[in-house]
Amino acid sequence: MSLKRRGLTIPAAAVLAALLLAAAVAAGTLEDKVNKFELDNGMKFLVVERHEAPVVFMAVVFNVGSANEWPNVTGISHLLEHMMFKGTEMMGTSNYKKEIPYIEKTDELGEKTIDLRKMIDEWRFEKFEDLRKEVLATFTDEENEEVGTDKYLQNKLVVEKIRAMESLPGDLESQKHLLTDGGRDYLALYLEYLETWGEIVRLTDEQREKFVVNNELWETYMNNGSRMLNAGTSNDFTVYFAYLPSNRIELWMTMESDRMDTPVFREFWIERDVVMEERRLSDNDPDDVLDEAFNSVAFAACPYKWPVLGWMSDLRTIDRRELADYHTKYYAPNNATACIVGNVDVEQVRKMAKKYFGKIKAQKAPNPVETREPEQRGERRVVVEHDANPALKIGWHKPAYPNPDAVVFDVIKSVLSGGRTTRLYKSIYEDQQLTARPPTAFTGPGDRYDNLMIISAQPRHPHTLEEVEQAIYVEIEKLKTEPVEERELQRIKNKLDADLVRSLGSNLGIGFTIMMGEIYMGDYRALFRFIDRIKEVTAEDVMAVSEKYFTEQNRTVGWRVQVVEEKEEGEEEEGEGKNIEEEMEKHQAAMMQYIQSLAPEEQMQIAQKFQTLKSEKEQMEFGLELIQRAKDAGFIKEEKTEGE
Amino acid sequence: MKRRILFAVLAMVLVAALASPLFAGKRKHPSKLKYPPIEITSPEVIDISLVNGMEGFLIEDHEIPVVDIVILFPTYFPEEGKYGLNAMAQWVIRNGGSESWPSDKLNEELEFLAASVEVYGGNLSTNVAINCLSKDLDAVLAIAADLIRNPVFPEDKIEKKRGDMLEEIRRKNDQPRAIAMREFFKLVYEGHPYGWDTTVGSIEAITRDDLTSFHAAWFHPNRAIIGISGDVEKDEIISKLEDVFAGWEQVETTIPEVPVVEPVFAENWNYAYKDISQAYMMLGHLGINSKNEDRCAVQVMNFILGGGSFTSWIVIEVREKKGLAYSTGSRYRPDAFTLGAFYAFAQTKGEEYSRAMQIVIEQIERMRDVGPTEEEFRKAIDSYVNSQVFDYDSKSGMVRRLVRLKFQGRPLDTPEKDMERYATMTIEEVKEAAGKYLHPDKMTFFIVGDDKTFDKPLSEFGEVNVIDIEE
Repeated sequence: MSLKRRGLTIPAAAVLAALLLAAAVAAGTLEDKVNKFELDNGMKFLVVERHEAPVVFMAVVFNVGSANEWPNVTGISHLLEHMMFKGTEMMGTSNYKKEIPYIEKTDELGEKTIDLRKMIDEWRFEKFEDLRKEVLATFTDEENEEVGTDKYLQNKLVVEKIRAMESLPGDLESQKHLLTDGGRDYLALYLEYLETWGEIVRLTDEQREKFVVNNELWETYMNNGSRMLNAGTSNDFTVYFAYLPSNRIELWMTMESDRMDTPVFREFWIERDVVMEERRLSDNDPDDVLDEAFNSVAFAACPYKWPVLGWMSDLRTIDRRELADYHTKYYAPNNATACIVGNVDVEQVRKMAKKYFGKIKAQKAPNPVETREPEQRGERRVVVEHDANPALKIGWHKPAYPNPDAVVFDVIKSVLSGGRTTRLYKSIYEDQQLTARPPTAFTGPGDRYDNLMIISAQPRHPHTLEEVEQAIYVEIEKLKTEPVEERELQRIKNKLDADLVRSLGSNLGIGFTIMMGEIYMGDYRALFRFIDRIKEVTAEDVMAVSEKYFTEQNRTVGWRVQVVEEKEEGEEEEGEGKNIEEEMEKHQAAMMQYIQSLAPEEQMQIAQKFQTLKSEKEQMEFGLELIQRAKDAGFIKEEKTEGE
Repeated sequence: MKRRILFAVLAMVLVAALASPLFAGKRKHPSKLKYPPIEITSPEVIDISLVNGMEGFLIEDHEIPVVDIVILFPTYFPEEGKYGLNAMAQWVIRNGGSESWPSDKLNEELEFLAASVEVYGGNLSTNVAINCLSKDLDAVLAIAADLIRNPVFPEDKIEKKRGDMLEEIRRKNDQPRAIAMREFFKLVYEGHPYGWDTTVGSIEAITRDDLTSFHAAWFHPNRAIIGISGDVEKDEIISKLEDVFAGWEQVETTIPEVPVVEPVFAENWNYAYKDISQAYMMLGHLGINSKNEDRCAVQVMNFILGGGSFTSWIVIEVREKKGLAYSTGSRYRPDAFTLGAFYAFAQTKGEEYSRAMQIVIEQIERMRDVGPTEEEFRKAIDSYVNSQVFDYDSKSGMVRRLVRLKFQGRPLDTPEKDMERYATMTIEEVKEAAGKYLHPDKMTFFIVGDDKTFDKPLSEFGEVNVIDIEE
């Protein structure tokens, strides 16, 4: 379950970390080994011969990620990555021509569902969805048996049952404006929506039954022995890669050129649901929940503000034609770089590349992202509630390559985290024991445009978010006032050297290093210059850059606090909880007065304690304790309650 | 003259080829491609044996100036009331340092050399992994050996780790996926050490004596298995190892056998509440031992059922056709000591959970009752056979595999023998394995989610055992 196959989203920080993990002694060695060439249509190839084993790492990376998106289509880059596995005119089908009517018809119906849902509007739609679930629950055993797992039959039966209803349940009947307004029958539109969806499912099933070869692309790679087969989308790029036996180069050339040239986004409307499930996974993942809230506040203008997965409401309105246009524009050869490392012959690769990719037409170069983040003028804070223990992120805006300050941040990152001798590890994790895992420092969420230096940490009970946050600032302040020791700098440089050497020992290490250099810096060679410059960073540079960027005005702080929606307990306990709630409500004003009467430190303590309480039960107990304290202090007058 | 004719013929072929559809940008279907043969050669594996009884393997590899070493010590479960002891010991051995190499000095030295010495493992083994530039091998090896032989287990580090582990317990229900995995295995291995888990009580019960006893019990050279790869010569590494481990005495110990888990199969339904929009489902039962003769057939069977990612039935039916889940599939993991487990998994929005689950169950039944087609079987076999080349791609990977096999008491040529098995396997063997090792009517079900969002109550499937995950 741990291995995420295709469709994974790549945090850019992880990639850049991996690439700078890889650094420079042997700059000469690796740089000289790379053969770079460009086809007439603008597609670039990076090839490294390494004949250790009869295997080859092959990747193609497109210069497009979620940062290239715009409102209404967030998540389209990632959705496209999923759809790229659905086949081509040649692959994944027994007869593409005969599939065309199905694709056209389901497009028409799919677009209709989007329009219908817009007309119904979300607030009504949700009410109708509740109705649908109620009706589903009334299915008899025979009906369940008949419907099985078929969505078409299920929707059909639901619609029949609703139409047959003499009166609608719950508040639907009484709220007439829900059903009809301004001459529109919204329930009828909803039923049409359900029927249309059923029809899409039925047609797609039929298309699949008659013509589709499920996952032929993926399967062909697998049958040919491919491993590490995957694809990923980040804020800045989209990559497809496979590790193959080295006699299979032509297979890769065939399939990758084929899907760049003539992809067919069949079964679009069903795959969109898969991506929505992936989106829901993120909604249930506490770390993603914090990331999304944090990024959306840290950036005012830059498209790094939305998640790679996109917003659910956008996913609901993207249609296949939009996706196809997006592909034409961004998956053009002039927007792609291939990277091939392993047991290959450069000349043979060059010939095959020309043969397979050379005829694909170049497109007008897509517009680069021009939006720049305006200067931040004051701290931004965001709190997000979730059923998980507390966590925090702090970020400061910083420039990206080629700004010389970006290089200094790479050193700062390594001073702060990434080893047992680093500042955050030693101070926060080891000495003060404020966290159960060492805090991490990294850059993100993307690395192509001006981004953030981010520190992420999770307090260890009973320490609070506030305490951890303050302790991090203490370490940040030290960067401004005390020069980093020579030995610390030397350690970082030694690691850069050693890690580059290590990366040379694997095809994937080499492949990702040069590929990301090409993506983030426009040329893999720039990566080596960047590494050279890291080695020239001085203690004074670190102080100056820290002084300039690590300011309160320039930072964003995100807190995730735990809020538990308790399950429905037995009546007794619920009753008990209710009494406390009532009592707290009754004494709310008095308690506020009591708390305000306390010294600021005491108030802070109460707030901090409350925030560490995990369950509603604990919070209730604490509430009771507070009521008692308020009573003791005379803020609440004792009164006899019933039953006592 | 002959040469000329040959040239002319070649030229014609070339012209024809250039005019052919292939050169006009049309591609041939991959099934029509022909591949040159590939030669797979395994690098030489050298057996290592030290005077102190330590044994293992070496693969010399001088491509880059790096040495990679792993030393495995077989260990055993603590008592249930001190579960977590092994993990704590492993951490404190590394982070507590030794007399000569106290924690701070140790970390300073290793990180300055960009080297790593890590101690990690599970209940049944502790691994010491060493990686450094070959120029620093002497220094790093000396540190690692001292850490292995003379850890000091300082109180402050023990308390640090105890606090961290208690925090991990507090955080154990943050991720739904972690809840699903943990609770499912607790249910399947109920009453067996594989089903144990850390508790506040077990972490609080661990003493410093327990940790030193752990070290004294298991860290002996004659039990250790070593694997070395990288830029070092055989004679050189042996003499270095003899040096750093000189005087380390052998101790005869016996490691208890892992209890045999009773293969009881009975359908049972389990549910835990969490305030999330999806249901995370795990369903399955006990599986097979690694030494089971049918292991390879079971692997192929599961590859087709749900292990072969996008080529497998469960993924195609649940994800590709119905769009119900992002992450779904099945695993059939053999265990070297007792029985492993089989499980299928899916996560989907609450209102669709019963459909998704029904489809998964249907696929398992279909595999047991009908089995794969000849084509599906053939493709699965191709996948195993064609990927054999990756068994020899990474030298450190090869060495680690050998160390693991030796530790598990399995034949060292298992990968090669497996390949022979795959190459000669018949579809009947796979069908038999499916009939024998899948029990869709006797599975353990675990679902975590919010049952208020479910399309139908779980109780419709059977009597539900509600698990309180806060406990």
